Amino acid sequence: MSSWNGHGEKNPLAATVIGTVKGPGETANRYIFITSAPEAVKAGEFVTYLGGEGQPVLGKIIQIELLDHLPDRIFADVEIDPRAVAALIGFSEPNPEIYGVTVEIVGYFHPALGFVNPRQAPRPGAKVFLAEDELLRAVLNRKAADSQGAARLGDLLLRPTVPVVLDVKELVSTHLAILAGTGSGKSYTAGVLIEELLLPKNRAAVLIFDPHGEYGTLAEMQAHPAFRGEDGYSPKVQVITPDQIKIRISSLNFYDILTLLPDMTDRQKSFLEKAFSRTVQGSSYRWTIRDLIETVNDLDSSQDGSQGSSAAALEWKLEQLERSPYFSNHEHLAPKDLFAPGQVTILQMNEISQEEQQVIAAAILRQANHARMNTHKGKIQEHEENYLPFPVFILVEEAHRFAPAHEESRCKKVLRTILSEGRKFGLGVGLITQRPGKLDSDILSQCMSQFLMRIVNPIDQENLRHSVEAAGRDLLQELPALTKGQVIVSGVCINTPVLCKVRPRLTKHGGDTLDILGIWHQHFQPHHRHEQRLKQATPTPRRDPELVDGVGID
Amino acid sequence: MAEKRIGKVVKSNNHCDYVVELDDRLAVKDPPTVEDYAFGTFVKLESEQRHWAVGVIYNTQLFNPSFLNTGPRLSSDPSPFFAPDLQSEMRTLLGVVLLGSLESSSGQTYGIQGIPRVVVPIHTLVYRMSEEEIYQFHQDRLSRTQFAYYGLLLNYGGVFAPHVLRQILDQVSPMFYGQQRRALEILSRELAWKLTLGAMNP
Repeated sequence: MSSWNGHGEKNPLAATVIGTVKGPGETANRYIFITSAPEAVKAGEFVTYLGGEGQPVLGKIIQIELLDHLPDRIFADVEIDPRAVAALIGFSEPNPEIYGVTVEIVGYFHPALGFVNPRQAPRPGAKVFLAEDELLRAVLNRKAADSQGAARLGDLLLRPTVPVVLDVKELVSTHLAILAGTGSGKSYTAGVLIEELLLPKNRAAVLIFDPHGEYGTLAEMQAHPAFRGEDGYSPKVQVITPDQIKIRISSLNFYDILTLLPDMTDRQKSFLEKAFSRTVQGSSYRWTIRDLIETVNDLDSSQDGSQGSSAAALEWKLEQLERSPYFSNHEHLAPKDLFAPGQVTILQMNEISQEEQQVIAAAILRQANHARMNTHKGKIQEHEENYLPFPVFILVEEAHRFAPAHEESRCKKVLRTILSEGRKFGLGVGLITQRPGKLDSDILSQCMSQFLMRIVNPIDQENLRHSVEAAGRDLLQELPALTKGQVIVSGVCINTPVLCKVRPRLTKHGGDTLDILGIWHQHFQPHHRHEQRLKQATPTPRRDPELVDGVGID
Repeated sequence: MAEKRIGKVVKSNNHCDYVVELDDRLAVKDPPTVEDYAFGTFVKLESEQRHWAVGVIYNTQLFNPSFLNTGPRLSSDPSPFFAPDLQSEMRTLLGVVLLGSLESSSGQTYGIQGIPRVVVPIHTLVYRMSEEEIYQFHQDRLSRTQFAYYGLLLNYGGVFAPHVLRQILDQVSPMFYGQQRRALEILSRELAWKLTLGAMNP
């Protein structure tokens, strides 16, 4: 045995032997090995055998089957050890059971090509080893844990000594999706990813759409010693609260405005469309709602100058829009306000209605896309508002609301464009959802890295099976059995899909479930009860005036 | 129970399947009673020189040359005094499967279960085993209960093998106590299932 693909001299025979190959499995890239010691055999564990040229061929245990076993009736009596019965009739081996273990071949590792399938089953009788930590560290991850462009998400679930390190470049440029049921820790995982992106070694420019206001605790990063760089770097966390969100009306398109307005008749829509195109074309400056209302009035007025009925209705609706706190004629969140390297901007959108959230997100995404595209092509100069000279990464929470599967939404089209073209301009998107079944499957299939956590809903599981092929069926079957903080990582950010235990967060987690019982109990604490009694107490009645000589003194 | 001779080896079908001819009143003074050679009885094959093997009766057969020989006769009953040879042509044959042998060392007798290595010669005498000997046969050198001939008997005990086994288990279980007895009862239950309910849906 000469070497392990340039990962240093190593004698693999020193590794733990856990079984012997029986032969090929049901499909071409599976094999079965036999073992009588099931302790070392865990589903999902990595094993190796020595390939034709002496290189270790990595595989993953996907199924464990009991081949020869004691008769069932022997197990029926709880007071007697089945082995004692077996020994009585002349079978006194210490491990009577024989297990057939199916292994899915991952391949041998080639430094340039990644994992290469040997397309050949191991020879019957070949020894199967438990893959060594050192080998796994070298071949699973694309980067060393502390190198630039590496994100350490956590450790292998079955090997706490092997870190799972993701390739940040692939992660942010080819988009990612975090798919997980409620309470399985998806925003926790996203928090860990953001932390990794903002570490001194990465210094990313990140924007988070945060409809629940869960990410505010990331602000702790600013003072945390782990995030301080040798050159004085420390990440900046900008939290934009709902009342700070301002989108300029002139950055919206006709359909955005249509979404924001209440139900309209066809006639009103047609007037608005005409008025919109005339306003936008006719003005070289930034148009306002007032301009739009005037154009509507111009279009729908009778010869005597009196206002038409459609114009009146439209005017009323547009005025409502003008009064919205989030849309303004002049104020605006420009790309330069939202993005900077080493900065995470958290756009808190709680309290904002769903329609408005849609339009805000669509406007910001569209603007970021244009900014990146035009800056990349050199069409925008440095002093302009839309100048964005660095790649950015945008994380969208509750992505199924912004890109629903079977209905139109303002964001969906923009997201689709970004997901298919964003890679060229350095605009990456991360989608987080608890209902993968409700997320548009075209959009999901464009996310090249996936983080799958516990999902029990069968419809969601089925949808994943169709759209997330990279994870492999065997891993997808694990979905309902995962526990909190366990994640299946697959896609381009890692060399082969792995089961990972997410590392503890450096900052506090903000998305915790409310401590319901604690609050209920608090209600009955003595000082609280006293306060409640004080509040509920009826005011003391006014004392009757005293009588002096039969006359009341008030 | 005293050691009781029941017959002698007259033939074998293979290395561990022997045919024993039952002694009758013309051969010995005190012929065995029907209980002595019942189905499932433990026997030992011994000559004056040595102990050969331990076996169990798994089958019996009545041999009668005059069956269907209904030619004309002068008397209604053949006279045993004038035709003794013909009388003794009638035989009872016992099928015995060998299960092991008894071994004695330093005053302790124990069983070695499994096919015996030696070939038992023709005319070797066959004795019914005492309760004590049966108990000893089911103990190994370290005084642990053993029932290692289970597989052997199930495979070579002929068509009645499971029934013989069950009968043996019923006979042997009461000799043991505690865990050992419990283990034997589990085997007995497994067989009972196979023979009764298991037979309903093969």
